[in-house]
Amino acid sequence: MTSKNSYFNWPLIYDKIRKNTWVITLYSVILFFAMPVFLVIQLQGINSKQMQNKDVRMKQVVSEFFCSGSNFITMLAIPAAIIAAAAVFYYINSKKQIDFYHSLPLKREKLFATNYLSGVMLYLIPYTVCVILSVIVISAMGYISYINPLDILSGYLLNLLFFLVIYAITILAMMLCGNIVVSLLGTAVFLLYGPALCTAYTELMGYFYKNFYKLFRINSMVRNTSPIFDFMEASKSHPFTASRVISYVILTTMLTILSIYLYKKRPSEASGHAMAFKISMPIIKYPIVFLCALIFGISFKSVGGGSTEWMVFGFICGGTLSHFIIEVIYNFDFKAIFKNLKGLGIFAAVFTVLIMVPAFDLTGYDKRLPELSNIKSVKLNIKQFNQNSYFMDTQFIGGINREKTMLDRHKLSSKENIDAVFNIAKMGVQNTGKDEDKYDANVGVEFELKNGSKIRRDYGYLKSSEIVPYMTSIFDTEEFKRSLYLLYSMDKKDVLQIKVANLYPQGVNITGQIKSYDKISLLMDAISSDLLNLKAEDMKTETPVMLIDFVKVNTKSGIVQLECKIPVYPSFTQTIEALESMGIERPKIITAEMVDYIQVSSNEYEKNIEKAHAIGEAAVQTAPVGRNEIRITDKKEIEEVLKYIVPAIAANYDPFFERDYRYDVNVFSSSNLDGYNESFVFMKDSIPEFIKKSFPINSTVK
Amino acid sequence: MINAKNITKYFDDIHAIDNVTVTIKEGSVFGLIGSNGAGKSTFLSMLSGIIKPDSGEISIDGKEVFENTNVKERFFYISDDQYFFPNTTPKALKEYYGNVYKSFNTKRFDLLMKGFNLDENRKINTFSKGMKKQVSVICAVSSMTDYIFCDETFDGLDPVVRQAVKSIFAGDVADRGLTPVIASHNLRELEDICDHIGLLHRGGILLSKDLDDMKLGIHKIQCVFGTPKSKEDFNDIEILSFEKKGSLNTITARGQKDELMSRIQRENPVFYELLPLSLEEIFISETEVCGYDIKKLIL
Repeated sequence: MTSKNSYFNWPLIYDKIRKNTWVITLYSVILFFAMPVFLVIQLQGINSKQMQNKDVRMKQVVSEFFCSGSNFITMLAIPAAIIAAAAVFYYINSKKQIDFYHSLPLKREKLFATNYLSGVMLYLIPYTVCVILSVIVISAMGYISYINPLDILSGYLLNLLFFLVIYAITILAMMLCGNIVVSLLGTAVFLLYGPALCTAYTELMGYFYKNFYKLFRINSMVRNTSPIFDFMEASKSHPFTASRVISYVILTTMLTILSIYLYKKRPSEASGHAMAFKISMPIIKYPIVFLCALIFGISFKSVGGGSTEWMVFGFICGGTLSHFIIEVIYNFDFKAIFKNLKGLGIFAAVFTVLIMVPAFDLTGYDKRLPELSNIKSVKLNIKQFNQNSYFMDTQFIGGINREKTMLDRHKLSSKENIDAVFNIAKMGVQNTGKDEDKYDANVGVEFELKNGSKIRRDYGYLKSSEIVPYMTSIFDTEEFKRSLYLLYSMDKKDVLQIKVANLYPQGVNITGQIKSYDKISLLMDAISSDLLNLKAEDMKTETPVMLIDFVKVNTKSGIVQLECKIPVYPSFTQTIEALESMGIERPKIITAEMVDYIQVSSNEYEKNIEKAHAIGEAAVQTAPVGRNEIRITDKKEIEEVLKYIVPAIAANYDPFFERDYRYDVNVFSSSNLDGYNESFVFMKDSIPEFIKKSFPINSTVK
Repeated sequence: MINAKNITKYFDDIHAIDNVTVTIKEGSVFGLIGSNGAGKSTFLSMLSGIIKPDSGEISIDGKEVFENTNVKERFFYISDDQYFFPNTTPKALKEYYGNVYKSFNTKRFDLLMKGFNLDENRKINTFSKGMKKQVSVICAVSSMTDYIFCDETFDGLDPVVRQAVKSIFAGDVADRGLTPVIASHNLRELEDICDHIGLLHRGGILLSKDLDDMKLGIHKIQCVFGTPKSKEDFNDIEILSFEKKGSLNTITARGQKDELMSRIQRENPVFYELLPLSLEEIFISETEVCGYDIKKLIL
């Protein structure tokens, strides 16, 4: 009998579940294979392999599986939520069914609650059963000790929360629409509109504004505008904070309350129509038209080789086509294609005005610089300097918004650093829009002003040679080094291991692995001290010989959280001493005796030949044609070359090293490089004369 | 008592119901007549609380119907295309309605299923259209509600079943004061069951009257006169139709039975008798008064 006191009608819930057993069956099968069966396969696979740290790997697999780490299970929750919502609320889109349900003596809230709960059960039942089965399987395999009940519970609840978020969004779309296909399209719009708009927005702003911080926005905004991307990111390695979880609970609750409200207001006769509420039609239409116009504009710009004309063509096509299609869908009538042309006209006018702002930089975005006296602090992300991405590559931060983290980590508050960064930014602003090919440096900056506001820019119109003084000044400060090298923020206890590799090759790269806490501690102290003494000026002439890699691993999941790579320079006496005490020797410097021959190739040779041809026959004749590669076998010449070259790999770990890009060097040594060759580079302006003379065309053609 | 007061309903630009005011008394059978698209189903949907009127109000015993579960418990709505759950059986339906209607009578349901010779374990989607309608009627009468709203329910029932359903309705009207509201486009279907008729046309009520009242005011007399008579000879009474087949005259006239009979007697008829009027004939007469040709509206 109908319970008057209960908000849910349990017999009806049971009845609804029974009527949708196909959903439970479908998901029972899918989850059975995706959960216990897949887990057994994974664990057996690891067990059968000969590998180190088998237990750690097993624990990692089990932890990933039950925590929020299972991307696959999270992905499965998306169609599950959509199918469940569509199955239990399908009736609101069917005139026949809505006549039936709405004539029954059941309040709409109760009907909603009954269906809502039934839909949740459709996923909850097979999911819960499969989680239990997975636990049983692990117990049966003897790995029960790998299970943390709290991890299982949190993973289970988080997955359920994700299901509920998608489920609530789908239901909201169903309440707004009167047709199942339109409802599903609406769900797709709700789930993907934010990321699509963010991507389109950043692409467009990046096109119009020369100093727009593009990647930063894409990463952070996409995650914040769609639960799918957010949960995917969270399930990788960066779990939600409690406040994030609470936000999602509140969001789900709000969406559900909104759906109930709309359901109460929803006219029964809306079933079968595209949209249930007339008022929502333009509210939904124009944002979609706006997005389509942007996407088409960007696509045509890309296909048309960056042409503004093609972009405008794309805007027009995207806007009009999407408007026409939406009108056809709204009216379920192709003849309605040209309906509301007046609205389209107004939209076009508004869109044109909106696009004019960035297109002509009406707000002065690119030129805007804060007053130096108003800057409280700066954040810095040096992406390219000296054609080198050292500042990005020396650190790895797992799973989270890399751009944002890089920027956030390098917060500088000292006056000298603020001045230097301001000057870099000023140079970027002054150069903005000038010949793009000249620039080889890229620095992201965020100014935090004293009034709390932030100005974030990505300066790509920078020359490394021009900003060297500022970069040198920044690098030499302790504040910057402490923010750049993750080593300073690592707890020694959290460092799982230290890997040591040679940057001056002699056959084997990895020379040592250190896992003992005492040794890790000793090495960390030594390198911390040496790093602070390292000066940018020294790095111009001195290149590193070894690379120390500090790895911090999540103790629960076994996933690498942080990785900090620090190059060891010959001047790192404390570090080298510590390494030697652990039996790790610095690599030998190659001498002429060890080398079989050296091959030097000119990077300018082909270009100069082309130039000679362009100048004319006479020029070609005066520029003798030769080879672009020479082989040096004379020991004296080899010795001369070895004075001015460093391994390319070592140069890559030195942002201030000034190399000569005109020549590439390959050193062949059968005794020291296991018969292999190694790439070297010349120091800037240090090319021996006999090499220059070997490529006469380079000096003939200017 | 059901009171619909000045109700109006628009579907986009279509004026489905136009300022309709109707009163349906308890314990009577109300027939709602109208051609396709007249607004019968819309009116019943509003009566059932499925659709909310744009203006006006519908109440049962003074209580608003829309979103009022207490009122909704008092009626059962059978739509013209009743929904049944996929793969459901009458037995499952009985359980479902048992959960929804407090006064659902399962014994009566079982009895009626047997009476109509329907298998309660057979899937309803294998039933014929008529059998499905029978299941709907059985569910409706087993719910023991005060009102049953039927939208074209008799359409598709064979004459025997139709008569059986009418008998059940008539029995419930007599026994427990059931008030069936039956919408149909076919006058003949309602002829022998309705007490009160409402005629809907283009969303508006053309007339709403007790059948007895209508019958009292119109009579059909078949008579043979010694000398030939024409309509003009009876100008002192309101003749609605005057048909002549040889010497046999059939006169339909408005007025009291006794007055009309004495008027005929005054012409010294060789033979005369009072004939029963069909609902159709009454309607033809009534709607003609309103300036409509009923034959163009229904049938």
